[in-house]
Amino acid sequence: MDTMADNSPRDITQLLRLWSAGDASALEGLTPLVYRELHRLAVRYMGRERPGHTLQATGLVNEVYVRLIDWQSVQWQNRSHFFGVSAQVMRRILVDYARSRLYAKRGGNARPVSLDDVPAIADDSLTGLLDVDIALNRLAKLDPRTAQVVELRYFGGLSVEEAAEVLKVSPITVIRSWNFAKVWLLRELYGEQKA
Amino acid sequence: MSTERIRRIEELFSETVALPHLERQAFLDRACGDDNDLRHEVDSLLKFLPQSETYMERPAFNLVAQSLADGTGVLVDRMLGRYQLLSLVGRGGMAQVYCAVDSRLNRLVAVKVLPMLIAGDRERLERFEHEARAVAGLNHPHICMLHDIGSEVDMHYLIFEYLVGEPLSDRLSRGALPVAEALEYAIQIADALNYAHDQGVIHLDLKPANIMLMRGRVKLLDFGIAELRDPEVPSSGVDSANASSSDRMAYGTLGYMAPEQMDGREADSRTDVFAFGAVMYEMFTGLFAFPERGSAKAAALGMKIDPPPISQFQREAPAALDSLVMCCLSRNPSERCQSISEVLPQLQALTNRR
Repeated sequence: MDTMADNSPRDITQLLRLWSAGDASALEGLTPLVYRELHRLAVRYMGRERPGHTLQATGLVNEVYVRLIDWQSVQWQNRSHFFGVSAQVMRRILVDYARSRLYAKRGGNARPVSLDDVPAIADDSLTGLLDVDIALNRLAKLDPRTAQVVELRYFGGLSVEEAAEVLKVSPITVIRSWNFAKVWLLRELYGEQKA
Repeated sequence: MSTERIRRIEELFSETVALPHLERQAFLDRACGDDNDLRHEVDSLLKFLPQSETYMERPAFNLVAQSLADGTGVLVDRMLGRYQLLSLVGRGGMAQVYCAVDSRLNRLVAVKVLPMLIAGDRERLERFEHEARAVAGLNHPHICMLHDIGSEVDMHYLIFEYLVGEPLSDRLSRGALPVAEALEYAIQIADALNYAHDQGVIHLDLKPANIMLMRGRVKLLDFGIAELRDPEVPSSGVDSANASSSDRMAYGTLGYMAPEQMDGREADSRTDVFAFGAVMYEMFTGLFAFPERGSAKAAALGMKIDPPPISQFQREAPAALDSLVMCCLSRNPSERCQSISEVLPQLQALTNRR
């Protein structure tokens, strides 16, 4: 995409606008930028010297938003809208990435990774990420708001306060939904088969 | 299940977990009454409460980044093009090196995978492919052959001749080489560099980790792909010249880098001459030429100190060797030995004199 040669936050903000207005091709322009940010963070993980020293999780995702989005051109009331859109975009890109990795690993003709393939709780792997995505789609049908909390927090990397701002609810509500969503997703993924 | 129903379950669940353990059952008995299904729902969710505490603790973004950073083993058994990856044999920077089978020619190859590096950076990819074509044209007994390059999804990879041997860096962690052996290796390395420079290819990342020892023969690895090194990889400090092998990794590339390359100025074949000097110094003495180079901060300082003469550590080393190595290590490229073709006959003369 030639228009992306510049990669300035202004362009990215525009791409997010286009994407949220239904222009699917905008994702093509956004993907390499998110990849670049992932790479940047991966390099930081590798450069980490002491084993016990973990990088602050949410802070880092926020850095990405600061770098990617031209907040000055985003009107204040649209701020939460942009967080919401960014979380959706992140989800798409991260899930596509994990899927491509795992498909390829299983050979070109492999079927999509399904829940049956998961022998144990694997939340800290790419498979775990895909599981969350699949189960979250089911939760969204029953309870869209709770599912959105997961999208914002897990895929969007937003803090409780930021998620509350996007959803226009209190932080307590976000915490309750988040805690509930976690057990619900775990039961969906690892619970006994329902009759 | 309706949204009202799941909201009700969520509400009950939240109220329950807010209570002390001992009060939960009685509370649920009261709240659910005859609604067995509701009770079952909440109970089955509560079973996952302990596990849920750390579930999804790390955002997906960090998880993916971490998996990129670890990467190890992820690709084993995978097909990349016609190459089936068998085992991870090494890694450095963002790259991983696998032993693989070329399914068409049925032979072992080494596959160097560069994850995500170039995604979204078309210019860099084009430079890399251009360089790879030049490297693929190198055919020399002391240069590891580049067979092919390829890309898939977000990954780019290089297919090299598969070599069995010991990296010079591992050998050097056990100390200096005997003078005759070091001289022989130096001549082979110089011969390879001389050939490549004649073909217009500069190595730009010559270091012991990129030199493979194979029963008295050396092979230079990673020719011309210094471009793919990640400039953002931070280096950790190395305090002493008596470094362990992990320190050696940290010392990595900086210890052999010519000043003009460190400063981001124009690099040319003389840049390889400097790195070659640093490698020679280490072969003959078992010591880093610039031990303080391990950290970027100390590097600037280290530039100003010349390493002590080789003869101080290696009594058998001829005086002419010292002056040759120091000439290669001149900070100013224009004062340095101007080409490997100048260095090679001097090394050969030293061998003949012994």
